Amino acid sequence: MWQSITRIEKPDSLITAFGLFGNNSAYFAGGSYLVVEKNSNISTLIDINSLITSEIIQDGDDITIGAKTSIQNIADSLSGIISECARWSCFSKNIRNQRTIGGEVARMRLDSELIILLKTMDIQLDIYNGEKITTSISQWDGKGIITQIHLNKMDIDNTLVERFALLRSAPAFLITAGTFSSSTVSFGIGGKVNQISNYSTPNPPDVSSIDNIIGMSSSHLLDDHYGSREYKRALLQTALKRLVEGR
Amino acid sequence: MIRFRLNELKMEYIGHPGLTLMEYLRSIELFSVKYGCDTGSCGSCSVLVDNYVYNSCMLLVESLGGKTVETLEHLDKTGEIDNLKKSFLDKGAIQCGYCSPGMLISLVALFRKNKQPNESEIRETLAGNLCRCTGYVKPVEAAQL
Amino acid sequence: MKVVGKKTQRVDGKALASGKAVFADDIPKKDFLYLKLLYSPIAHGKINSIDISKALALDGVAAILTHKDFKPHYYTTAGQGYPEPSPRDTMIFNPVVRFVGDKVAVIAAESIEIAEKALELIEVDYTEYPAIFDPNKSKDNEVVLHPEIKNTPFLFDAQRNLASRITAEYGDPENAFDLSKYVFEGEYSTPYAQQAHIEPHITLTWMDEHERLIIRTATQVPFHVRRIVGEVLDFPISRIRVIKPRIGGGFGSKQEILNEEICAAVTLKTGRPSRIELTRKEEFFAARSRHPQRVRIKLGFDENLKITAIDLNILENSGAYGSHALTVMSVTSQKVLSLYKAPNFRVHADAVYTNLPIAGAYRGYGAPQGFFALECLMDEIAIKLQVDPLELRIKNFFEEGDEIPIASILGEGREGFKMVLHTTGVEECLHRGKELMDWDDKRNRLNHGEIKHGVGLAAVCQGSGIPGIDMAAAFIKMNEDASFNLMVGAADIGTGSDTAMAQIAAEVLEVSVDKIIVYSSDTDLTPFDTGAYASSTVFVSGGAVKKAAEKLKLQILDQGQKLLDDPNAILEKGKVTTGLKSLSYEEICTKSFYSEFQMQPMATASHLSYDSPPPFNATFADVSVDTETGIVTVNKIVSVSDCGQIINPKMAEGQAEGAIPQSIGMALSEYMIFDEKGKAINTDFTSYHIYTAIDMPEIIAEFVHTSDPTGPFGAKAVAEIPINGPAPAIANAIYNACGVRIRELPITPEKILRGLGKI
Repeated sequence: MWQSITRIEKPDSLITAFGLFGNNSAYFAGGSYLVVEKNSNISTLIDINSLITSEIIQDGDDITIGAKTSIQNIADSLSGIISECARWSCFSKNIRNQRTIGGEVARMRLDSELIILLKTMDIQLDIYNGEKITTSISQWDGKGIITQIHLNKMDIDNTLVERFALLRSAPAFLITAGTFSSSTVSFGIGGKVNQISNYSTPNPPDVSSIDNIIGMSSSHLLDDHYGSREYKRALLQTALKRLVEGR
Repeated sequence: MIRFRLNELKMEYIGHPGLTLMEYLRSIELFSVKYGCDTGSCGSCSVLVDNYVYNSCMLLVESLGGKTVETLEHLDKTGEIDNLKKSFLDKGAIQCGYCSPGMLISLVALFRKNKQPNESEIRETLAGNLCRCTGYVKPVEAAQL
Repeated sequence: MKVVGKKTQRVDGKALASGKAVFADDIPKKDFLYLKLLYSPIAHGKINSIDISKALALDGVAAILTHKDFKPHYYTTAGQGYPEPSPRDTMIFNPVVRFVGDKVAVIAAESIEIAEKALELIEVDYTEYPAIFDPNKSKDNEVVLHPEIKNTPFLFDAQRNLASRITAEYGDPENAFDLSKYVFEGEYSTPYAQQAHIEPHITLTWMDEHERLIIRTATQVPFHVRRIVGEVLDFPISRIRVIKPRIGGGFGSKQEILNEEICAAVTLKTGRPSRIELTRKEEFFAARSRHPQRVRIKLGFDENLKITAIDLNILENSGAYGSHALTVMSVTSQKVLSLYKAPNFRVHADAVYTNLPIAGAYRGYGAPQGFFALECLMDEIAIKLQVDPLELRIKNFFEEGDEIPIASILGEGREGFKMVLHTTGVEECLHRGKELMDWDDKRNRLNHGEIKHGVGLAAVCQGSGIPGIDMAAAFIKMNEDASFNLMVGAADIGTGSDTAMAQIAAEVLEVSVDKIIVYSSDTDLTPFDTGAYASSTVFVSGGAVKKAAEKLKLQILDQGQKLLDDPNAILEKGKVTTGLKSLSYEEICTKSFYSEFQMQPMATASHLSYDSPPPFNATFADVSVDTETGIVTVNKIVSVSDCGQIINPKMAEGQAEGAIPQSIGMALSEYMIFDEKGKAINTDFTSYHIYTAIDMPEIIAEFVHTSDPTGPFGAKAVAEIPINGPAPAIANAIYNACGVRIRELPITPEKILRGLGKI
């Protein structure tokens, strides 16, 4: 039982929902992270399920996804690297059915392939934080309610992801993504790291740009039982090489 | 107070807002729903909610207003799992049986959408049901009716 | 045979498939108290004081027990026969704590939530002692974990932190090594791995209307639970009943008195029913796991590549207490020395205490650790000598008719019994496995590119029960519809043993399996059985069932002859017949109950065997190594076993199919990690990776047929043997793929990259 919860609010508008938010509350859509963690500092859940949608709308290359869309729905309805990343990000279909894209973005898990992908493509988020704003995922301050996310199909088709894990079902210890546009490449690195890092290089990237990335991200790589920092650097080298070659 | 359907019954719940569905179901003696882990990894608590499979340990009862929850007891009564049950028993896909209700629930959700899933779809469906006895060999075989 | 050896549905299958309430916790819990344990946060220290006053004051807390509530009494939690061959170094609650996770107090409250809240209100003051985490530093360390315990036959030297020691010698190994043409040596090690059964440890206790203590618990050893709980709580065995319901897996972890005594203590104190269930997190540090071992093997060969001598040296990490410490390394020694003939050998094994979680029984029970070492070394030798790895093994295997010397020297905690090998199909297992793996094509293939492929093999053996120690009994009675109630002590922990017992009885009585109604593992209603361990159920418990069924069959014949008034009538196909007249089983029993020569046809039998015929197995692994990342993918495992006559083919395959991922896990992805203070870090299924349905390699599990004269219908054991082969086969396959030899499990990607010289 999640002992500390005293009430679940069901606001009928985004304004009300945003106004209810405070130190001991959390927005609640799927709840797949919250209900497992049972954080004892949270006493109020603000149920936003009626305020967001689970629609996927494709208009040319623009894909708009309602924040309530489940990760499983994304895996099934979209194709290509985003579908793969959705599956890699959580091995259990049970959890993917419950986890919403809004919840996943808000959590910003460092070893979620989906997050690394979205950050590398630097997607746009529709946020309500007292007013409706649109901001990129890299610039979002984490405050407010995510109502929709925007993807670009061309970016998806031009992105490659390498993930390294002991097993298909195990969390990855290194995730690298690269979105290749005509003149630049955007890279994203995550996994067992202390923060997700993003870099840009010209396309094609030269050796020194790649070495720069490895140098700059070394301090983000963790020394843990999955491997030493040295090992992860070697992995990163291989990952970047494979991304560029795969292109 | 929230109202939801549970198997063939209409339920009303007034209680602690932090109670999980797994705890609730076991407290009303629907024992097919089992406890196996703390992280939603094992799937022994799997149930159907509006035709999708979820881990009941990760759902709050109070979030189920207007939804339909089904457990294995109900699917056994209606006969929906008859073919799967027979296949599992014939192929020897049940050893200790602790993960079996979870696996059967996951497979029912799959079959409701896709009557002829291939092996890879079956494995993807069962990935959230951990089993330590079978190596998944016979369950995957049995699921290909 | 009509029933044995045939595919049969499990007798408990329908209930399991329907989700019926058959597991320990699946009962209504009216008036129950919920128990939570307070664990030590430090690895080694003394409890100066425990203040439970605030916790007791909390509304809904019924009782709190600590070491102050019990007279000091040492026992072992190991679920073994009396006298338990494990050190008696455990107290129900000890004023000294010896690992992060050692028990300090139990709280009993009206709900789990109240109990959890009360845990936070208990104040404990500790004096911390230095701790030992490295088993290599434990022996003769100035820090002593159990300074106050006297040594016994089963506790070797507490002052030196030596929980157990084994030494054995045969022939003159020193001389034999000197005279050998080749001598090879290798050192290998295996980590803490978890059984990871999906149902946690769970116990419920209550007093019945006759003031008897009822223990309903997920256990492999109901009779040992009864005896040990009785001993610890000074409560008579006659007033204890242990019931084993359906179990959600054990794999050795439930061959232990884990919290039954604590739960019972609360019930005895409060008079109320009590329940204790470990959370998954607690399973990882507060239960039991595999004994990590460092194994050094030396093999001598003559010019014909026949083994001249074997030297086996083991350092075993027992954790903070010595449960199963002696017997696990006994099995390591026995099994490693039961595969290849050696006219000379020597064993030296030490089990040491460390301030880490307690190791216990886990499928294979020492053999996986030993065979990892032996079969990797054999592979290394075959490659060095440039000989075929199968031929090298085949020329050294024990053969039918050979005596296996280690068996009489070393039993479990005492001398053993003479063993003559009656059946071995290991050579056939190797040839069949080789074929199924396309060995010749794959072993010498050329690898281009970053991903390299390889194959490896291992040959292994196990035992069938513990000779001269494992005793089982069965009771069978007839009903008037020609059905039979079969009561066995044998514990079905998901293995299907209830079904196997039914098949054996059905085969003897010439009826179909559905005529046998099995009830098992209830200390009031079923006769004794040591329990589900040491692969004893089919071989020993099955032996008792066969004997009892045979006795009953004679009674039915005798009744039939009396009723037909013809001493020459015979029994066949479910009836007793003179040729002209016959009586069916139904008629015989009905008359026996109600009208003539009245009696209840029933029989009992006990069985003990001085034999423990080894099952054999050959395992082949096909792996791919990504030489840029070090990540290993297991593509295919072929596992061919000789288990004598298979009782139930589907169930036997199931045993192999489940054991294989446990062994792959031990090789590649399953290992406990501790921080510098001895605290377990990876205590959930996200960070301790067991295989899911999307991770599995292709598995082929087959059996070759032999018929051992000592087992029921020729059967040998099947439950543990398949877990020994995959880990060494994989290590050997990795070497074949990329030339990197890793001798310490787990084989992590980093170790492979370092081995390749890439970092």
